[in-house]
This record gives sequence, C-alpha cells and structure tokens, in this order.
Amino acid sequence: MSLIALRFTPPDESYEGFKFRIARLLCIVFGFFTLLFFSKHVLVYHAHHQLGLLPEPFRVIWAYLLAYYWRTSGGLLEMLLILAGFAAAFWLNLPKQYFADRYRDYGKERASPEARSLTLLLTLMALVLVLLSVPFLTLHFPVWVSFLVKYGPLVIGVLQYLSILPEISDEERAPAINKLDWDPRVFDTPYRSTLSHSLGKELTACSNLMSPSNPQSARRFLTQGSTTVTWSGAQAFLGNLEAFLGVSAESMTLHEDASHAMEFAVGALLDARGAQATVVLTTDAEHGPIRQTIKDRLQHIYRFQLETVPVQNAIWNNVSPSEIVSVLVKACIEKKPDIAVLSQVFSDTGIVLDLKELIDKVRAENLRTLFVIDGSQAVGNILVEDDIFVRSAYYVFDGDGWLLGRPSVGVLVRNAWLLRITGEVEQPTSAMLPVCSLHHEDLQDTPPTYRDFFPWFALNYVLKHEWLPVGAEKATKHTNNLATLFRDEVHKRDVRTIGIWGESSVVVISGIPQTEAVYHALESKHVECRLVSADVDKAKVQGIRFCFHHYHSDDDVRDLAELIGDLISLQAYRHTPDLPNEPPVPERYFRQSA
Amino acid sequence: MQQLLKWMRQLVYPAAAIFLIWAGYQVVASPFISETNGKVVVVYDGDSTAPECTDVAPNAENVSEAALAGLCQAVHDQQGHGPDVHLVNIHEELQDSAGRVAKIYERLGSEIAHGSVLGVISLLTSPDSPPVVRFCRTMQIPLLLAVAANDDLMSSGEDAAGIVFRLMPTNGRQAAQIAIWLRSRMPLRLALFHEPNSFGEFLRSELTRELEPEIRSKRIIIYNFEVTEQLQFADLMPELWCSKLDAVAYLGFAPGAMDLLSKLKWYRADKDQVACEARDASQSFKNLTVLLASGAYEQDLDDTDKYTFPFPVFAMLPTRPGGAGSHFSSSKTLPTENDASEYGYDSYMLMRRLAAQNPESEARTDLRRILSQSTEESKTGHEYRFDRNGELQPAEKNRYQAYALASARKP
Repeated sequence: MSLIALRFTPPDESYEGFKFRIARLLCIVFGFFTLLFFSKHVLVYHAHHQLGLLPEPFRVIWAYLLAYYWRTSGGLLEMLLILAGFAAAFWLNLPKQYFADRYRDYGKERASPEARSLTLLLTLMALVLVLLSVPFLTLHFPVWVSFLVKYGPLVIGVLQYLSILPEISDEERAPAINKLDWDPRVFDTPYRSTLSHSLGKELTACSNLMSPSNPQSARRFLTQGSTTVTWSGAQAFLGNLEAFLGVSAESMTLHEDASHAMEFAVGALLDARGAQATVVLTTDAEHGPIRQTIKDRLQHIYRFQLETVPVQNAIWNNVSPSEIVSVLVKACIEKKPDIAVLSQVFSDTGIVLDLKELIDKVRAENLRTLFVIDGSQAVGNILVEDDIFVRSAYYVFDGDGWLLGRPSVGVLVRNAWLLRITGEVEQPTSAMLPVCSLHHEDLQDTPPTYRDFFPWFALNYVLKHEWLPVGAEKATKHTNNLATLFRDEVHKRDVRTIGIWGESSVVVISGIPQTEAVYHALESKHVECRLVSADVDKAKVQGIRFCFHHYHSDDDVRDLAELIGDLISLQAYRHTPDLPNEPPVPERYFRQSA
Repeated sequence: MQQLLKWMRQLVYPAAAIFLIWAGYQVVASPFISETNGKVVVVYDGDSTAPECTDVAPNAENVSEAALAGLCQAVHDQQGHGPDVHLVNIHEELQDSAGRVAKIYERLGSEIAHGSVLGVISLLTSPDSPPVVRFCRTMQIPLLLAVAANDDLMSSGEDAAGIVFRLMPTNGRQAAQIAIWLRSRMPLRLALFHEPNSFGEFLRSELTRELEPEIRSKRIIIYNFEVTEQLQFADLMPELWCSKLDAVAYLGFAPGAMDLLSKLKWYRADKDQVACEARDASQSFKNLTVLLASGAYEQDLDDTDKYTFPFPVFAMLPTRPGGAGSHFSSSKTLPTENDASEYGYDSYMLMRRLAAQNPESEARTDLRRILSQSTEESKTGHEYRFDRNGELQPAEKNRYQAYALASARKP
C-alpha cells in the first residue's frame, strides 16, 4: 500500500510485517463475523426493504458480553487467553524469538512510522473484533465449529510462517537479526552509519561502569562484566568469538586493528627466521593498510624481499578464480616465498580467492611457504571454514566492516599446530595469551580506560545479539542471495559487474558512464557505498562497490538497483545535447529508513 | 512430500474461505438460536428461590409461582424424558426500580452464556416481561410468554415475530370478548370501573373503542369510574343505585374487585339517603350483573364457603379455571385450580416439542411451525396454533369466555 509517498505496509519479512498480516487476517475474519452478528442481533428488516433497529439491542449485547466474560469461567479463560495472546504476539513480540532464528528479517524494526501506526490500529481493531465475536461464536455454533472459527484464522495466519509449509515462491528464507537498527542505505562497511540505538545504549552503560576514578572496579568489570550489560568479561568475549568462528579461543589474540594484528603475525614469523633471507609474497590487490604495513613498516625493519604479484588486471577482467589461483601458484613456484600475505576476499572487488586450492597446490610443489591470510573482507561476508584455518599460519580479521562492531578491533587466529610442525615459531608465552596486546600485567600496571576497550564491548554486543543468534552460515547465505539478486537487477539495466557469481556478498558495478557522478549522486541520496579504482591494461578503471549485509532485504536491493538505473539514465540524459529540462529522480527509495 | 505439502498449502486458503462462507451462511440462515439438547431457562418472580423443580412450593397468591408449579408438574410428568430446566428467580432484580432492566439483562446474559439453551420460558406477568422479551429477541432465543397478556409486549415496535410466542390470548382479545358479552345484553346501563394501570387503562380504552357505535346509539350507556385510592365504593353506591344500572364491569385486579363486590352485596338503598326512585322493592343490587376482567378473578371468589353473592357474577377468563381443559365437561362452573399453573404446564410441553425436533430437520428453521404442531391435549384447553406475530390464532378454544362464579346467584 503506497499512497502520497507514504508506506503503510511494513515489509512482509519484518516482524512488524508479521504483526500486520496477523492483525489484518484477524480483522478480516472477525470483522466479517462481527458484521454478521450485529446485522443479525441489532438490525431488523421490514417489508419494502426497510431497515430498523431492534429495541435496546446494544444494552442487551453489552450485558451478554459482560456476562460471558465475567460470569462464566470459560468466558473468563477465553478473555485471558485472548489478551495474553495479543500481548505475547503484538506487545511482547514473543514469536519473534522463534522467527529470528529461522527467517530473514523477522524481528527487525524496520517499518515506517505510518506502517507501525497502521499495524497498531489494526491490532487494536482486531482485539476489539475478537472480543466482540467470540461470545457470539460460542452462542451460534456447536463447540467444535466455534473453536475452529475462533482459532482457525490464527493457525492459518501463523502456519504460513512455519517451515512445515513450504513457500510458494520458493524464495529461500535466511535468518537475520532482531536487535540492532542498522541503516539499510549503508552498502559499505557501516562505520559511517549512525550508531544504532541499542548498541549506543550498551556502550554508554559500559562507559558508566568503567569509571576512571575507580580503576579496581574498572578492572573487575573488564574481566567479569556486569549483569546490567551484555559484556560478561574478556573470557566470555573470546568464548563468543570461538563459538562464532569455530576455532579455539586460546588460539586468538586481540589487537588494535587488523593491520596491527597482521604486523604482529608477520613480525613474529620474521623474528623466528632471524637472519635468514626471507621472501614475502603479496599481490597488488591487497587492502591498502595491509600493504602499507608490510612495505612501509616491516620491510624497513626486517629487510626482506617483497614480491608483489599483479592480479588486479585479471580480477577486473573477470577471469575465473582458478586462473587467479594459477597465477599465484606460478608466482610461488618462481619466487619460492617463505611468507605469503594474501587476502581471502580481495578488498576492492570482493573476489574470493580459493585459498584451499592455492595452498594445496603450493604444498604439492614442496614449498614451505607460510600463509598469513587477511580475512577482513571474508569473516561475515562468506563462510570461513576450518580448512582455511588449518592451512593458514595466521588468519587476521577485524571486528568492524562485515562484523559491524565499531570501531575496529583486530583478531588474530594463530595456527599453533602448523607453526609447530614447520618449526618456524615457538609457542608464545602465557603472557601473550589470550589477549596479547593487553595482557594481565598491563592491566595491573595501567588503569584500564573505556576508550581502550569499547571496541571489544561493541563487537561482543554484536556477536551476542546478531551473529550468534542468527549463525554465520545463515547470514552469509542470505547476503550472498542478496548479491545475486543485485547482480540480476543491475544486469537487467545493462550494468556490468565485477566478480564471480554466487561467491561473495560484494558486487562492484563498472563500465558505467560518469561513474564518479553516479557515486556522488548516490552519496547525495545518503546511500553509502565505495568508489573503487584500478589500473587495468594501463588505463584507470572505476567501479562502485556495494556490500550486502544481513540487515538488508530484497526490497532494499531492488530499491538500490532501481535508484542506480535511474541515476545512470539521468547521467546519460545530462550528457545528451539539446535536451533542455532534466527529468527528476524519484525520491521513494529506502523510504522506511529515511 | 514437498509437492504434497505445496498442494495442501494451496488448498488451505480456499478451504478456509469456503468454511468461513459456510459459517456465515449458517449465522444468516438460522432464524433463532436453540440447542436441541440444551436446557430450558425458566424465568419467574418468586418470593422464595427454588433451585430445582422439586423444591417448588405451590403459591396460588403469586401468578408467577403458580405457573412455575404447573411447569414443574409438567417436568415431573415427563419423568426425565423432557429437556432440563434451569430456574431463574429475578425477584431481587425486579425490586431494584432504577436498574432493574440492566440487572435482568445481566442475569439473562449470564444464564445464556453458561451453556447451550433450548429456549426461555417467562412466567412473569406483563409489567415485568418487557426486558425478557427484548433480551430474547435480540439474542434470538425462543421465548414463550406463559402468563403475560399485554398486547404491547409483542407489538410491531418490538419486532418479536418469529422468536417470541405467547400462550395466553391477549388483553385486546379480552376487550373484544367483553364487548361481545355486553352487546348480548343490550340495551344496557353499565358502570365501568377501571384501575389506572396498564391493564385497566388498556381494557377500558379498547372496550370503549369496540363499543363506540353502541354508545353513540345509546344502546349502551356507560358510566366510567376510575378506581383510585381516593375513590370510596361505599360513597359511590347511592349514585350507582340512582343510575339504574344493569351491569357493572370491573377492569382491574382482585383486591379492588373484591371490595366492590362486597359493597354491592351489602348495599341497601335508603329512601332518606338516595334522591331517586327504586327500580324494585328489593332496595339492593340483586338484579345487577357483574363482570370481572381476568385480572380481577381470584380463586377464592369461587369458593362458596367464603363468598356468596346475591347477583350473578361473571369472570372473563382465557381458560376454564381449575384445569378444565377441553377434555372436561362444558359446564361453566368454575373449579378451584389456578389457570396460571396450566399455562406453566403447557409452556413446558411446548418447549418439549422444540427439543424433540430433529436438529437437521428443515422444519426446525420455522419455530412457529414447530410450536403449532398439535400433538396432544393442552391443560388450558387452548389449541396452540400461532400466527405470524407469535400470538394464538383466534380459534374457538383460544378465546376468552365469561364464566359464572359458583358463589354468585345463577343468572
């Protein structure tokens, strides 16, 4: 229902949409019966099609309703059930707990204010109509029919949401979150979006509990947490990371950000090699800060040979993943690197590197290369499985970006087994575990401050309330489907995309006229995305990168594609001579979040 | 399996829609709400509350309780084969003059809400009956009015047709029968006493309307007297004597009628006190004929041990008093049994007809047809056939008749 640019209907797949549908169904069914009962018990039909009112019908009906609900135990029980049912579904939102675990978007508060108002109105109407109808259903029908009519609509309304009945549209439902209200216009890492209300509340509460005037209390809070907030101590936080990633908490250390974690990992490997000549291999498609860390910081200290493999050209030309692997394997055979620093998902384009195939092929060549993997664009984007962790010496990722913790915290996963059998690095000291950069001695010496730790609180909160309830597999499946949908939509508009279908939740559009102008137009519409560029075939190419997060829905993706299509048309129009007036771009996109 | 589920899912909504339409049709098509195996709610006004029929004590002083006794007798006679009854005494509700209607609605609502109901029998008199009629009409529950005869109860404004049925011929028909009775005695000088209540006022106005041609042609001369508290019958006697009356009609209830009869019985015209010539030598009203409306009749009036009247006294009654149904002799002598109990008895027997109907039967949709099925003799002697308005059809057995009191002089 859309009228004068207002959206009265909440998204079907939001919990508000569930409430809207159920309330609408109840209104239709019980409204139908209320109408029948009132026309039957209030109106009288005279000859010549004349209509009249019976004497005192409303007093009689009111007396009957009161008597039914207050003077009969069955009626009282029914009233309590009705009120409890409405309160559970429409106020306490209890079914959300069920749906949030199974279906995409259920539980998310993303309906427009007008849709919420309409839902509330429908809910109240449904409650009144149910309360009016139930006593008359009991009066008019035998017990079994009355029960069927009373509870049938509810069962039918709920059944369509249960997995026992398959969806007609075959549209796969994936899980999503129910706590944080992310801005659906953000298609980049969300650090530029407004801090969500609930996350903001958690951080404020944590800040209050870490008073600088009482360092002892702050330390206790850091290690033990509090019942008033989600934070339950550093060990619990690592436990949450362990549950999410499926790797032992003991193998993880926390750092300031991914670059620091990478510096720590590569530095440890280089330290272990001592004075031996070392070749470090990387690509020209790595994330800028990582390349800077290796080239500008570590190379100056350790003086290793840095080999950069050019893969940007292949990536932007949409070559197959196996070809990129072949290029890298070939480079490894040629350069015989001791350490390879690679991204699992390339930052700008979202192309997924098949690490399993790459490392296995390198091992097959009897090379002792240790792989340090930057998973910053992978964790939360694709499902990172065990076979990547067991093949990598170190795996680095950060808590912002795809995981939506903000600001960043770097997480380093150390493959102690691999490092032991290759004999490169000794077991780290206990002081380095589990939190290497802020271990217990530090905590004893320096009073902990909220500023140092709030990225932990944020990531812990997001893990606890979004990723763990939903599950990494379901979330990544959902975002992957959104990326596929987006590719379909922009292809319909003759827009080229970079990347292989069905692997990553990142899509880069390129080859459009006036890419920068389109990007700025998107910015002006408050759509967050990223302008990316590369030198391909000695020419600079540009694209716009979109990351699809689990808080997005199909509607968001379609809105985005439509907006892009309109903006591209607008740019083409502007650059067509002899056309005086500029057509307006519709302002209906992402209305619910505006 | 998945295909089957898909197929079933596609059927859910059409099936639900069909079911809803069917349920809606049932609501629209059923003209009344009645469960064949439901209970009969019996509403009465008793000084004491009887939770069960076995606890009911006969009370001839109270019409409602007398009718209840008859109804309980019918329940007893059925020996458990008839529908169950649930007795509802609304005496307390009736005492609350300000909120009695609301309280009666609440009480009835509670009874209906408590379980399946076959129908309602009201053993209340006319003034107490309107809330019951309105409740049952709105809720569409079959109602039998056993002892209420006021025409307005089922007037067109109440729209009670098809739901509410009355076992007693109306007061309007009583007025018509009184008019016929009076016409048979023309020329006539009549003293018409009426009480200022709905019963007396209604009968007087109806009677006046019926007799308008005769009054205009002076074949009947009527002297109207309103029986108020200030009116003393004794003071009125000389005036009545001088009016050379042929008949007196009393349109009211028993206490006033007893007082009037007493004064008429003992009055002796004194030449010094009356300013008119005597019609005969008796100086008394022995040649007068008295007609009492149904409300003025009391069982004791017919008791020769208690009363004797030197003039003929008739009571206009819908039934032969004392349980004299059609199987009794046609003698006009009044037996001692109360007619309210007969109506109570018959009301239960009529409700039993409704219970005996097959729920699937098409005839069950027409309440009038069900209740008009003549299967057995009634206690009242009426032939229970109802017209579209729920009133008894004006058959020979369904009309008021003037019965002579045994305690009075034979006409």
